[in-house]
Amino acid sequence: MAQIVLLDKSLRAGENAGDVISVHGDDVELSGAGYALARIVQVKGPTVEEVRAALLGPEIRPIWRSKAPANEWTTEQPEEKPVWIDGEDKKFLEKPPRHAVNLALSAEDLTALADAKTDKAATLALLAARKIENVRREIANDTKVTLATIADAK
Amino acid sequence: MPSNVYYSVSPYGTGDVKTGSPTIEIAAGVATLSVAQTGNIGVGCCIDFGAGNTLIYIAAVNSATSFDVVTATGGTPSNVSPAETVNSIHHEYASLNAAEAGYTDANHVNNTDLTTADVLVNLACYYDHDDDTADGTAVTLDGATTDSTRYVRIYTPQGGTESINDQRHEGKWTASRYALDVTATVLDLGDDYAEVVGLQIRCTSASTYRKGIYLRTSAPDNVTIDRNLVVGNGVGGASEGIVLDGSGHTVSNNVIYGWNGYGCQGYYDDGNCLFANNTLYANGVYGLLLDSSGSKVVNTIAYGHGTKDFYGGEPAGSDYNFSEDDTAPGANSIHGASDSKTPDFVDTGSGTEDFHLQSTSDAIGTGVGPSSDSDVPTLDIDGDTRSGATTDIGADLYVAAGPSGANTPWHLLCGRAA
Repeated sequence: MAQIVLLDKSLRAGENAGDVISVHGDDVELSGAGYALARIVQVKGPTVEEVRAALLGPEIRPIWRSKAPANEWTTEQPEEKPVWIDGEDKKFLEKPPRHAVNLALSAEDLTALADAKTDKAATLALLAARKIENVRREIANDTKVTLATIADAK
Repeated sequence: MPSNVYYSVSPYGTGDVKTGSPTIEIAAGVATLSVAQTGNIGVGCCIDFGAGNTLIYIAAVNSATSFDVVTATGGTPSNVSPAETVNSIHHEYASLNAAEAGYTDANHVNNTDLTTADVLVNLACYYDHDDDTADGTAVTLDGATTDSTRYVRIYTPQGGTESINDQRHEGKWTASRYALDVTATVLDLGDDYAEVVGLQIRCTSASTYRKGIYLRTSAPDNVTIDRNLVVGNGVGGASEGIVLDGSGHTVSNNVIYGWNGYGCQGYYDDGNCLFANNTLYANGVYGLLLDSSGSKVVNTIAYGHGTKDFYGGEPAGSDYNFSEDDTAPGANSIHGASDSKTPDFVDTGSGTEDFHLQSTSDAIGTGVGPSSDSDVPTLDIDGDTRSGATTDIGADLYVAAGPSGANTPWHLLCGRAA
């Protein structure tokens, strides 16, 4: 049993109504001025941890480019840039989103999520289907990078 | 002078935490309640009172019945007399990320430009007194316009004038104190001049590239990271405790352990950073990695790391550090293996780590004190006071016994039963 806190309005640059702010257990009260501009979505069935896992954003990792020709040593730091993992592709993360994911939920979705009779797997599948990875909203984040080698750690 | 605004965070949520059924009177910004408060409240908590549901926020704790209060924008509330009924006392947010997302809205500062609003934003973090649930949401702090006096300060109240009960760790991982415990990178700091003080920050994830505190997304300047526990818990490859970018940061009194990669790296920062009195232990690769000009490392222990304790040169002015290998920079630094000296932490066991110093520690009295080096912080991770020409190396100032004054709740200082 969980509650998802969503932005109800776009408030700052880079935000969108429906951006996921946090996930809590259903025993946590979420009211007052702090939540006056938020929308609370009730989710029956899955645990808080399962809902959080379903709403994770894409993996992000660094890649590096040496400033020296291949096989030559240098004291220069390699250049580092972040990429995000899009299936089999790695794409430059040029404009990180303020919030990793967004949920676009219809009235029917809200009813299904709050219905204790909905199968847990179906609930998680619905969340996954309605999840929008905000990194995809920026065309600047859609450039694939071809990696010659991958260094696991600098 | 900017106005201070205060909003509290607790994973307990926004439920009522008042004691009894008090009434409230307000005179010149001081609220007097008719019933002594014993709950998990303090600065940032919202008092909702009267038929009109007026909202005010605690700015200081004077006693269990007396509180300095401000409005949501930091102003002085109107006087209230005769007394009105308190409807609730509650935390404003259930997660730090919600506070970050919400503090600029129309019910609060109503501006992302804190210099225009002329406010210093205090986000005070409380633990969940009901069942100790940690704050489990990753936090991104960015998008505000700030300067050296108007910025965002994230911290745990320490009792005294800040809260009825202590919310801060005891220099080691502490149950029933506020903690950010997240499966992703925990805290992404993007705002200049942000302060993070007294938090327990832990990443619990087997995934790679997780970070505890990460400054590389936005490369802010002049961030302060002080008196935090930054812990990796079963984290995957290339995970790091603190990753800096930008310049002018102060990293002090932190205890950093459990990371697969580096404890703290300033490899990509632009320099002019201060690393003072930190303790880094047995992270997978390097303890403290630096490659920036103008930075300084002083009184820092990096010990037992997989590859090297310190790495990346000897920043000018760095001294009085302590490593197990021969990498601690500075003529007065200790190289434990070569010098046959040990820091003698209380407990290095996995899951029971306690990096306070034992009385036998060679870190005691071998650091430079604040009267000789003004870069040395005068408070240690427990709030104990450093003074004089020499002090201990690391985050902890060894104290033989007894509670530290700064960490002692006001009701104990006053001799009042908890």
